[in-house]
Amino acid sequence: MDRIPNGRRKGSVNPHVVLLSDSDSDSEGFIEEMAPVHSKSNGKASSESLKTGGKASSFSKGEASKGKASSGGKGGKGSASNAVPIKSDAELKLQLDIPQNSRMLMNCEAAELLQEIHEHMAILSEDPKIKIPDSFDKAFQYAKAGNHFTAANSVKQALEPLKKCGVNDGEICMIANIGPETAEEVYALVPSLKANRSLTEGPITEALSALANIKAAK
Amino acid sequence: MVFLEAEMSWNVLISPGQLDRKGLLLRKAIIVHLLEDVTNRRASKEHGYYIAVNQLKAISEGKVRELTGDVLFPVSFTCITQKPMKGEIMVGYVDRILKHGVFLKSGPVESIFLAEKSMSDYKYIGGENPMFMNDHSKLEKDTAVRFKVLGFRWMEADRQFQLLATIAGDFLGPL
Repeated sequence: MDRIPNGRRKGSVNPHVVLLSDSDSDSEGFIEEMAPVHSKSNGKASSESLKTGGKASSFSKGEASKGKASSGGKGGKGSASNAVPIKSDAELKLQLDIPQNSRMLMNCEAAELLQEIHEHMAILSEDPKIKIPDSFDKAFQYAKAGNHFTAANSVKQALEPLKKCGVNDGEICMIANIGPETAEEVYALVPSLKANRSLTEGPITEALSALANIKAAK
Repeated sequence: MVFLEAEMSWNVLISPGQLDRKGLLLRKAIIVHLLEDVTNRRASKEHGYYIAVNQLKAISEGKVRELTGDVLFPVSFTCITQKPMKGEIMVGYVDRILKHGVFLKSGPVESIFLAEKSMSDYKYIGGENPMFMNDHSKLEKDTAVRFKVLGFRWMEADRQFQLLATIAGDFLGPL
C-alpha cells in the first residue's frame, strides 16, 4: 500500500479510509491502543470542536497539520474553517488556553511550591482519611526535573526585562521551562518570537547570560 | 504541560454525623472531603490534572439538604494543576516502541504519541529491543526526549489527556 504519497498532502476523506485499514493490518499492538481513540473521537465530534476530531485522526496518522485539514471527513462535518494552511511542525506556535482565575507557573516556581506542599504532606499522610491526588508525585518529579535553576525569584528577575520588548508571559514561561543555552535555541523552540527578532535578540541574549549564572548543577 | 495556579469554587457535602459544634473539627471535615473530591476527580478539561490543593480561601454558609440532612458548603480554594498547551516544549520518557511510532510518558500524562512521520529522519529498527535511530542518536525505552506538543485531546471517560508529539525541528529529540 502506498501510504506516503496518499497521506502526505491530501486532506480528502479517501486517504483516511486507506489509512485506517492500513494500520489494521500492520500492527496489532498499535490498533489495540488506538481503537478507543477512534470510537470516542467519532462520538465526540458532534459535541466538541472539530479540531479535536481532527486530532484523533492525526493520532493514527501522525501529522496534526494534515489531521486538521481532514477532520471534516472524520467527524462527518466539514466546514470552511477547516481550510487551515498547512504549516511545518517546527513552526507551530504556542497556543495558550489559560482558564479563568488561573495564572501560569514556571516549572521552577511549581517545583518550589510543590516542595513546600510535599513537606506538609509528611504530617498529613499520617491520617489515612486524607487523600492526595495520584498525579502529585509524578508532577512533583516533572517539576523537579524540569527546573533548571536555583531560585524561581531570580529567574523571574532575569526574564522580567523581556516583557518590555513585547515577549508575553507564555513565551517567558516557555523560555524558563526549556532552560536554553543559546538565543538560537530560543528562536527554534519558541517560533512566535521570530517575528520581532531584531527587537528581542539583544534582551534575550542578556537574559540567557543572567540565567546561566543561576543554573542549578545537575 | 504548563503548571497553573487556579482559583476554584466547589461544593462540599458533609453528612450530619460530621457536623460538630466546634468550628475546627468542621473545618477539618470540609478539608478532608475537599481533598477526597479533588483526588477522585483527577483532572478536568478546563484545568488539566489536579496536582495539589494549595490554599483554602473561604468556606461559605452551608445549606441543608432537606431529604438527607447533609449540608452543602460552597468552598473556594486555589489548586495547582498541570495542563497541556498546543505548541509547548516538554520532556518525556520513551515508554513503548511500535513500528508506527513511540509512546512517551511525562509527568501525569500516560499517553503521548510520537508518530514515525513526526520524527524526521529516524528509522524503526525491530528486534528484541526495538528502537528508532538516525545517524547520530537513537530512541529506545526510557530515553529522555524533548518534544513539541502538536495537539491534545481530553478523554472524558478516562478523565485524562492524550497528547500528540513531534521531534521534527531543531533542538528537539533525545536529550
